[in-house]
Amino acid sequence: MGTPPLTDVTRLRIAAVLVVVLVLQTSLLVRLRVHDVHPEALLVLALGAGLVAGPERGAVVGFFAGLVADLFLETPFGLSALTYCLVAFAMGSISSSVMRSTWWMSPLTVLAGSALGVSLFVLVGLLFGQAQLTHDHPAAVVAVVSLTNAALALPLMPLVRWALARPGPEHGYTKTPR
Amino acid sequence: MVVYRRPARPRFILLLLVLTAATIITLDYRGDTSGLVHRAKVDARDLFAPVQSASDRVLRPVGNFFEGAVHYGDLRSENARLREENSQLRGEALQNADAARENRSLHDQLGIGFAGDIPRVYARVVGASLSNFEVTVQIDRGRDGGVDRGMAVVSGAGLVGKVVEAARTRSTVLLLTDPTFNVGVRLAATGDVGVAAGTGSPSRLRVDLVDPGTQVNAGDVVVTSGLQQSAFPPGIPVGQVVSARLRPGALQQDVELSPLVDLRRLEFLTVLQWAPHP
Repeated sequence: MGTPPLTDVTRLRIAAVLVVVLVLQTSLLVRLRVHDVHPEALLVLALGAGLVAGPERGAVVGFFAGLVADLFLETPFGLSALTYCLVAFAMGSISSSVMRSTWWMSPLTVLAGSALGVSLFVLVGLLFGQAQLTHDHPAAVVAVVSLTNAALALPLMPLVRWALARPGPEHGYTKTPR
Repeated sequence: MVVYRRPARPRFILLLLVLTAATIITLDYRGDTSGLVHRAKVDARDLFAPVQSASDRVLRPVGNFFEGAVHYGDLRSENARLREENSQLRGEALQNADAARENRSLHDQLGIGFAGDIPRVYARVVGASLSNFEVTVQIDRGRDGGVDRGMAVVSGAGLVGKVVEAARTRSTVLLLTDPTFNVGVRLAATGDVGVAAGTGSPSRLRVDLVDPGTQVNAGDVVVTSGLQQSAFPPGIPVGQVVSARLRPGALQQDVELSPLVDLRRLEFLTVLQWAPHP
C-alpha cells in the first residue's frame, strides 16, 4: 500500500504554507545574514515534508518548493527543484526507518539534510556548468545554512505538520507477511 | 515472520520528478525554453511584487531588530570607526575642497564625467537574492519604469552592477561582486585596461589582463573602460586598488580591488538607460 492521495484541502494548505514561507524568506530571512549567508526556508519546508509525510510526498513537495525558488533565481530553472526533491526523499526514507520521534530529531535531521541539500545544489550546478557556485565560500554556506535551518525547523515544523497530516508510522514502507 | 519491503511507487515518483527536473534544466541550459522560462519568471515576480511590498512593510521592523541583534558587534565597532573618521574628515575638509576643485577640473579635461547626460531611472532596493550563491538585489522599478536587461546600475560612489532580469514592476540587479560579473576597466592613473571580475566576496574584485609592465599602486582608482561593445558607459568609478603583485613568470599582474560602493548597505540606486554603441 502506498501513500494515500492528497485531498484538495491538503493541496490548498501546502500551497498556502509555500506562499507564507516564500514571503518570510524574501522579506525577513534574506536579511538575517551570518557571514553573508542566510537561512533557506524553502529547503526546510522540503525537508520537513519528507520528515512529516514520508519520501514520496516529501519529494513532490520538495520539487514544487524548488520550482518556486527557481522562479526567483538566476541559476538554471529546475536546479533547486531537482536537489530539493532528492534530499526530501532521502530525509523521508531515513525518518521512515526511525520509529522514535523526539523534539530534537527534526532540527538534527534538517541540519544534516540542509548540508546535503546545499552540497548537492553545488555539485549538480557544477554538472550544468555553474562554476560560480564554488567561488569564495561554499563550505561556509553549507555550515551556516545547516545551522540556521536547524534553528528555523523549530518554528516551521508545526506549520509543515499542519499542512501535511502524518499518515502513520509506516508511511514509507509496507508490512507484508511472509 | 514479517519482513519490511520498500514499495516501488515512491521510487517511481522520485524517478519521474528527477527526470522532469533534469529535462527542464537541460532545456533551460540549452536555451530551448528561454522564452517560456523567462516569461514564467517575469510573471511570477510581477505577481509576487505586491505581496512582497506589503509583507516588507509589515516585517521590516522585525527584520531590523534581528539584523541589529545579529550584527550588534559590527555596528558598535563601525560606530566607533565612523566617529574617528568624522573627526579626521573635519580637519581635512578645507584641503579636500581644493582637491575636489582640482579633481573636477581634471575630469572635465579628460572627459570622464561620471554618468554624464545619460538618461536615468531612480530606484529603491526592495529585496535580496533568495540564493546564497547569487549576489543580486531586487529594485522597485521594471519595464514600466524604463528599466531593461543589460542596463548599468550605479550609486553616488560608482558602479553597482547591471540589470539581469526586468519584470513589469521589479528588476533584478546582478552586483559587481557576483562571480559571474565582468566589466572592462581602465586604471585612471595610467590608462591601462583590464577586466574586473567579481569573486563572491562583498569587498573584493579581481582584475585580469593587467600588463606586467603597468605601474599599479594601492589606492589607484579603476573606472569602466567603455571600450567598443562594452556593456557599460566609460568613466564610471568601479573600485580602488588594494594590492597588486607580479608572480615570477606570470603574464599578468594579480590585482585586487575594493568596490567603491558599500554593497552591503544599498538603499537607493540609479539605472542608466544606456545601450552600447554597435
